[in-house]
Order: sequence, then C-alpha cells, then structure tokens
Amino acid sequence: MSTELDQEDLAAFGVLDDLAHGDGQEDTAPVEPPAPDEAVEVLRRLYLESLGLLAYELEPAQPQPETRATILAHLIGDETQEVSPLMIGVATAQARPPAGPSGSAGTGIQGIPLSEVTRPAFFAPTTDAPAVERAVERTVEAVGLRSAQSRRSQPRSRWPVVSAVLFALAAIGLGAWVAQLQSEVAYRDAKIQGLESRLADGDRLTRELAAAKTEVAQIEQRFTFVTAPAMTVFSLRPPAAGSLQPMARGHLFLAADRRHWQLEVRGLKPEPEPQDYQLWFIVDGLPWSGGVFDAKPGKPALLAASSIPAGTTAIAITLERKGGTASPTSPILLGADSSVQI
Amino acid sequence: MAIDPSSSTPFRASDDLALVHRLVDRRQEALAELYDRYASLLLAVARRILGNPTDAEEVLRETFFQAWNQAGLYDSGRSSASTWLVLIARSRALGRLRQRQALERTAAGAEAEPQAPATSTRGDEDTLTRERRKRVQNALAALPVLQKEVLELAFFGGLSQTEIAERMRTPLATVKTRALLAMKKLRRDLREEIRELM
Repeated sequence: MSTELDQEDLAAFGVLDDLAHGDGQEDTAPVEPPAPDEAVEVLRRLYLESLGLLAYELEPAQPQPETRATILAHLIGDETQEVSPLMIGVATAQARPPAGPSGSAGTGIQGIPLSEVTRPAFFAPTTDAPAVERAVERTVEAVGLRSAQSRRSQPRSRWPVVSAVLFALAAIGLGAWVAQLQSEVAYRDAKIQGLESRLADGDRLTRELAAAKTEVAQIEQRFTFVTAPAMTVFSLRPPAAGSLQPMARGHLFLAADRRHWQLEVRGLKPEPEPQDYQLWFIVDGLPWSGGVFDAKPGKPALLAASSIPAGTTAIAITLERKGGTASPTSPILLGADSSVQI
Repeated sequence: MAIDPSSSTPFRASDDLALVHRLVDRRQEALAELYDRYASLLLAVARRILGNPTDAEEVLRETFFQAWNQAGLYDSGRSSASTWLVLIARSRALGRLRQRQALERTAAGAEAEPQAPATSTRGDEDTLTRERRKRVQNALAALPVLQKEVLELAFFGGLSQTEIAERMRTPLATVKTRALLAMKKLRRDLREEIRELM
C-alpha cells in the first residue's frame, strides 16, 4: 500500500476508527471538532452509509410478537418522559395479552387494540359518525358558518355542511402535504447535485494530483539519470549556416553502460501538423532512426531508449512526416558530430 | 403497506427523516412505523453480533428506546435515519457483547444459553427491500474473501484494525490495505443505494 494517503483514504479510515473506538454514543451525533474539509465530511458520509448497508447482507430476523407491544406500551401516556430500558420488564408484563378468549397478541395495555394505538391520528378510523359529527359541528360553530337559530329549526340538515367542511379540510390538508413533499424533494435533489459537484471537483483534483506526482517522478528519474557517474553528454546545436531554428539546443545523455540514453531538447518550435521531429544516429554514413517526438512551447522535448547503434559517429534531428520516415527527407535542425564516438 | 412499484428504494429516506422528526415531537405512531420498517433488519444485526436471540431482542428494545429518547440528537447531515438506527443497534449489541464476554471470563464454567435458530421473515419482506438486500449481497460477494472478512470484523465484530491484524495474524498495513480497498469498492458498487439514502 502506498504510504501517502489522500482525502478519500483518510475519510475511510476515519469512519473505521469511529466505529472501532465508539462507545455507543457516536451514533447519536457526538460533539466532535469541526471537520477541516467539507469534502472529507462528504466522503465520510458516503463510507458510513456504505457500512450501514452491510446490515442488508444479513437475513432478516422476526422479532417476538410482544416486542413491538412492549416498546409501544411504554410510550403510551409517557410522551413527555424518557423511556429507560430498565423499565422493559414491567412493560412486558403489562403488554402481555391476558389469558382467555378475549386476549390477543396485538393488544396493548388498557385493552387498547394495538392497531389503534399505532395508527397516526390523521388516519384514525371515522366509523364513529356521531363523534365526527360533533367535532365538525364544533368547527362550524367556531367559524360562524351556522347560527344557533338555524341549528334549532333544522337539526337534520347538518350532513351536507358537515360533508362540505370535511371535504374542504381534507383538500387543504392534502394540498399542504403534497406541497411539503415537493419542497422536500426539491431540497434533496439540490443537495445531491451539490454533493455530486463536490465529488466531481474532488475527482478532478485527485487526477491533477496524480498527474503532478507522475511528472515529479519523471523529473526525479531524469535527474538521477543525467547526474549519474560516468555519464557522457553530447551537445546538439543548429548547423553553423542557414539554421532553420537557431534558438534550439539539445543534449543526449548516454549512460555508462553505453546503451541507455535520454535526449532533451529545448527551444524547438512546435512541429506543424502532420509532422514529427525525428532523431537520427549516423553509423558509417547511414541514418538509423532513434525515434520521433513532439515539441511543446515552454517545455523540453524528451526522448529515451535503452539501445543505441554501435559505431554511431553523428547525431541529428530533422522534421519529418507524422510517425517518422526510414531516412531523413529534410534539412538537419540540430546535430552533433565532432565529438561523437560510440 | 402498499409499495409503489415505481419507487427505487424500499423506504424513501425523506420519509424516514420525517418519522425521526416526529419522534422529537413524541409521536408514538412514528416509532411504530420505524419499528415496522426496520425491526427485522436491526434484530438481524443484533443477532449477528450477539448470537443469542434473547439478548438480541433486548438490544432491539433498547435501540428503539434510545431512538425515542435521543431523536433530538440525530443529525441528518451525518447519516440517513436507517443507518443511524443500524449504528445504534450495532453499538448496543457490541456493548452487550463486551459485558457478556467480561462475565464469561469470570465464570468460565457457566453453560452457554442454547441458541434458537434464526427465524427468517423473508416471506414478509417487501420486494424493494429484497432487491436492496440482493444488491448488497452481490456487492459483498464481489469482494475478495479476505477483504470482506476485514470489513465484517470491523463492523459486526467492533474490532479495530490493530485487533483485526492480531486476529488474522496479518500485518497491520495489509489489514489497512484490505479495508481501504473493500470500502472503496463497496462505495462504488453501492453508489445507487447510497444515493437513495442521501
């Protein structure tokens, strides 16, 4: 494993450490130092959710039927107090269904059917028509929709009004609920887009960092190569007369093994498309291609290989068609011949 | 409960969030709904950690009591509500396991409680939860065995990486590499699931 950790690695290890060293309180939003980087927090969240999903690896297990009743029995009438696990035993006894035909596993304390206990008030059954009627009547009175006189004279005409009010209340409630859901969905979508954007930025930065590391490694490798002992350096310069690129300069570094070499050229103009610069080793007056390379503004052009023809007496660089040619077809741009003897 | 077949998640994370908010308002029906959604999942976690079904039931109760009591501390920015519940159950179960191990060390001769076979509720499980389970199981099956083992020891065993290295008789650096590779792969393979949770 690399000894250098990036943000993602640190986030993953942070989550693992939290899980390993938590004392049971970490899962309830502990007080901890502020995160140094929001991107790391996003990554930590992603890894925490990944680990949370491990629970789905397991086959689901069926709780005992009374467990649900036990828990809920404790909450009834105790809404404002905390519930202690130490009270479980008492609740279990209370919630256990009585012996006999009237008892059932779904019965909570005080004979209240569990289905009634757990159903949200919004969806409470409406079969108790008189009770509903009374409740709506109170509402109608409150908003002044009906006078006391008409109530006395027409006691049987309440249902149309009741139905209308019920419908109106239901419509208002449904509309508000839908609006809230839509708002929540929009908020979540925006949040996800923001997180994805941050992740994309993080990925881009990671790629840039990797590219920079690669470049540094290459530079270090070149530095090691060219500063090695017994290194032979051949200077490449434009021809004395009629130079096409008078500002260009190059060096060919030949290792002590007389096989490995690196070429570094500066000041070459970027080659026109579709052409490449080509390196030549001249042996007995015949050209041997050393390879093709590109030139970019402000950067040295580089070329390297692990073999060089024995008997090389000159080195040259020309501009050739894309991919190179078998022999030079254009004037020499840079060359070295006076000192070459390989 | 009717499941909308067009939905891609067993339970919308926003629904869970709303339920937790209602716990803060001391709404019992919200806890009942969370119980119906996650009790079998949380009990499975507790059983995996503890082995003992009686203890696991206790942990399940404690988990929902803690959720009821500490819903106000829940931070939706740190995890989804379902992950929050899973972590509570895991933490409770690991705490109980450590207590039990300490007791067992002092009473080594005591007989272990017979373990009841795990009862599956797959027949009652809704289709979308089954699909999520399948995707998670596939993602874990795609992990190399040793990487999966490291993750499971960390999550279900509550072990630190150092403890895992000792348990597996493996260098710590190797354990860290396995953990990192496993987590990255899991995060990548489960990205759709995670996105649904967020």
